[in-house]
Amino acid sequence: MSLASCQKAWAEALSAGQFDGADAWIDSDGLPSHRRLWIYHNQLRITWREALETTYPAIVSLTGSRYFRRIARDYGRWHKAPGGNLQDYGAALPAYLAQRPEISLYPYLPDVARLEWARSESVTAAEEPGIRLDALAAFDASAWPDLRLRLAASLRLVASPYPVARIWAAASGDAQHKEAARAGLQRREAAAIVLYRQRRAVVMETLPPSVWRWLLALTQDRRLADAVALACETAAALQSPFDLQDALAWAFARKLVTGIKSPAHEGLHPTHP
Amino acid sequence: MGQDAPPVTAAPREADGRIGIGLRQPHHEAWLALRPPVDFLEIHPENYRDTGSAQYTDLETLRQDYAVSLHGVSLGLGNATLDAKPLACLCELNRRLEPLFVSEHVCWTAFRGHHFHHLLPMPFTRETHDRLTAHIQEVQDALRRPILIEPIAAYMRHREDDRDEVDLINGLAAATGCGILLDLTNLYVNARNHGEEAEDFLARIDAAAVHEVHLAGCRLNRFPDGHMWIDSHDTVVPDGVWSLYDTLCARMGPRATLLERDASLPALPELVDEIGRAQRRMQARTADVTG
Repeated sequence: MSLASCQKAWAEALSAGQFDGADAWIDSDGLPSHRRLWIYHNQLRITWREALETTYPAIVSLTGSRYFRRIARDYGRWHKAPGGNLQDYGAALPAYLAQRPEISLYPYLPDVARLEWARSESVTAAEEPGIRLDALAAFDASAWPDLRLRLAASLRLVASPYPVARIWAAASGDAQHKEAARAGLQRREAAAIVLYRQRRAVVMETLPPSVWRWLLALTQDRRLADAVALACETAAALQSPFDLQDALAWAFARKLVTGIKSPAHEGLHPTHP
Repeated sequence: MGQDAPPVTAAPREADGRIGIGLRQPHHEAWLALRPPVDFLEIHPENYRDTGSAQYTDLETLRQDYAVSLHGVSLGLGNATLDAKPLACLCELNRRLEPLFVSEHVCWTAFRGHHFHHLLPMPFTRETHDRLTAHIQEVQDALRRPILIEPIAAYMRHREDDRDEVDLINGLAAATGCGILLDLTNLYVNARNHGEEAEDFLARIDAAAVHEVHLAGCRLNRFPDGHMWIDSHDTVVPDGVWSLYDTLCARMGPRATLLERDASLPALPELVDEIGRAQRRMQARTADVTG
């Protein structure tokens, strides 16, 4: 049996939990070969489940730990992890939840999962110094439309038709928000959320949809003028104003802008804090 | 590295006799506050790949007081090919932290792009030797330093085996110039699970290539159709492993020794006490060897 055939047999057994035929390649002196493979299969399931439980505590709380075990088991069969780092294992859980039939009864769950994944990404993102608002003054006003703002690596954006931040707070046992959050659980109430890290804590804020759209455009490396146009489009649709000055003040005050890119300069300018 | 390339220089021996503990995230605060008297911390590089993160900042702070070693769990030396991205991350951490050792396991972890996040055993064959030799050399070339390889705890042996584990490991060390990391709990578990002699392993392994020793806890799991010792890393080092440690020290002299605990973590001082036990035993047993 070649190494490739051997590893193929292993991979199929571990993926499917089917251990027939293992006697052909496993020396089973003592414990039967199917039991030996089951030990690996079981350890793998536990490793994967614990990785998901660590990343998605609010989903565990919302579904109950017993039901979450079923989700974790099924996800293990569905998801072919493309990388070896266990930190990335849960990346596809929101998409997986969205296609489970019974989740239609709890339609907010995939979005709460997206929020939790964004939190876990934000925790491990690089910490960069923010720059001051007066850094913009270094540019002539005529250059502003073409500027691109670089945002903090820990910044993540999540939007949902459900009040996912309040649901998350309720599920996370935040007593202060628990009652209010439970009351709103079934309400269809859109949320536009930004997450970022300050020191070691992930901060979540709910934003006006136009500001959220403006930030999304900036994360997509759009020109400032294009980002403003998209924000104004959203604002007009909702009949609420978008104020660039307020949005800039908000972002710079939180040190979320880490650099300014101008077509007239190579790279980022200026990047001093 | 091709066959005509110069051999990798052997790992330095100045770490012999040092003691260390595996650094785990729940203990970061305690390490930063207490700075207990050990020589080195071992990390899984996978947990510190984001060098701007708060976890990495902790590690850099601790690096000012402690040597560090990098103990990988996901490179998959026995996979059909090595992934470029984790290897690049390992190289970056190696450059930043200047670790005492870089080590990986003798195992495979992925097949056709599907990763299993588990250290899976390989048959002890010529083909395995050749694949591992090529990949160890690839890693050493990328890092520009020798690595250590660790034989794993296994719950089965392959029918295909045409040599035993000692011959495979010695052969890899000879072919690549890599060092060996001996996890005595793996030896203990394998001996009980497969009816092998751990003392025989220690007698035949290339002592000059052994640079680091791991100690950990294990458990006996009982099933309706038999039992199996599991390398659980969730309890204290058992007496049988300490006996093997005495044998190793008496045969080889002092070696860098690390306590690995991954689950059911006790307070940090308990781990410091446990690795202190290794230091006392090492000093007592190696007196004869070192004269």
